[in-house]
Amino acid sequence: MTDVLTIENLSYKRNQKLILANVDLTLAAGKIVGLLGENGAGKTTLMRLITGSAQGNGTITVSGTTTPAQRKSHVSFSEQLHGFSKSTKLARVVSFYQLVYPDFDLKRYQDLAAFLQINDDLKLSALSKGMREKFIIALTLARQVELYLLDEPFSGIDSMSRKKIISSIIQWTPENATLLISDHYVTEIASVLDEIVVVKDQTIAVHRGADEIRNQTGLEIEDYYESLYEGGVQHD
Amino acid sequence: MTSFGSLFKAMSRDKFRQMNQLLALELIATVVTLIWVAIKGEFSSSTLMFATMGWAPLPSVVGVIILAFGIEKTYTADSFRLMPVEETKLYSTNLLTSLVNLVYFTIIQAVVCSIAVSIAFFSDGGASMMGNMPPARAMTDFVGMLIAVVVLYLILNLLIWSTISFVHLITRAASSFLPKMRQQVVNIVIYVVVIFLTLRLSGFIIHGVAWVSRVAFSNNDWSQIWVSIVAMAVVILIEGAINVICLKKWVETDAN
Repeated sequence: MTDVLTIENLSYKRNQKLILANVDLTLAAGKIVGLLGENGAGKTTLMRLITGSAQGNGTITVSGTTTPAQRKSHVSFSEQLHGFSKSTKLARVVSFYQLVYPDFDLKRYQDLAAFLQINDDLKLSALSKGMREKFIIALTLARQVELYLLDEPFSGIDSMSRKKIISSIIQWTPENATLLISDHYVTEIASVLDEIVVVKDQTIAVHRGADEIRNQTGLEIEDYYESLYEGGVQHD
Repeated sequence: MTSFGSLFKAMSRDKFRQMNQLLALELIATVVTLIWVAIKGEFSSSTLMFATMGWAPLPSVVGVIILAFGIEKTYTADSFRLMPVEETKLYSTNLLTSLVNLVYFTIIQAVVCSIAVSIAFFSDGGASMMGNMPPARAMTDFVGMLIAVVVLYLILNLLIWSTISFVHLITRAASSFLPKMRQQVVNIVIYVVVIFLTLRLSGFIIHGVAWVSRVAFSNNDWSQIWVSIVAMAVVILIEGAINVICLKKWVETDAN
């Protein structure tokens, strides 16, 4: 199986504060990977480094490309649409995505929007937190790329919306694409994960298969993750 | 990768909409002024000319400021920075779309003002003014002057935007590697330098306008203005190169 993402010796500092150090990570194609860690552990920063929105030291390779501009062609990131004014209609944002991302599949977006019950005539300001997150997920998954990065897609939204989003992730992630979902609540996504990556102490503390964890430790993903912070399990 | 055409369209849409909104506001202000003058019973054939020319400068300044905000937002919002394009292409297309939209805005204003002037000219002593038209040679000088002024106007706006970006990106770049405390100190230093540069630039502009007026009224050689234009173009290129380096190496988007 080919690797879609390779990170070698990545470090990142901001305001003289070390946030990530000596990060090495390789993700194979066709996996759903949970990026776990406490608030402020560096999960979002790691995603931003992969997309090129933040600049660190080290090598990041996505589908064989290393420069930020090339990597962006292979990565779809759940950005929060801060570049658009609140009065922008969703249809206008969709049209923007269609223009700037040659890999944006409008049919796929329309299917996702129908499934997630998104009304394109609404303005961004009219969206609830859950609806906004659904819209972001629909835009992110409507691109045809090798690597999808979903940054805390479930934060602050109700359980019904969470279920809908998880269903859309399972249904619409292409088979050979890799999905990296960051979250600090494990329960909702544990069942769909192939692997977990835990960011702790400024680096990747754990990268293991979900089934491997269940078989070798006898623990569910959530229990295993919690045990890392209780000192019950020695991580890699 | 995103093509230039798609990038241009995507980056132009909001700016085009904003310029049209501004033109609509200007039109409303002009119409309200005309109605007010008519109510006062002071309406004449030159009222339209005074109303359009009186309102024109304010939206022009606001337009430049709105476009400057749009330019800077592009550099810090993921919505734009995640587009698969090189920073040089992003930077130059950002400036180009702003300039094109400003030109569009200015052309519409110029057309409206020309119509207003024509109405005043032909209905109020135009025939007698025709008799005082300058000779053909003077008209040639006028065309040369007009071209120089238009290019000066465009390059001056590019210089303003590129200087704003320069300060913005240098400040953002400093924040990526300085501790919070020192970052504030550096920002204060940058602001002081910028205020100084702004005063210098303002002085330069005022001096330039005075010089342009002097030349216009004394029939001197307009070619001298091109030296200033070239000097400004060089500054824009230098600032542009530094801005692109900042974007590539240090300037990050606002976090999610």
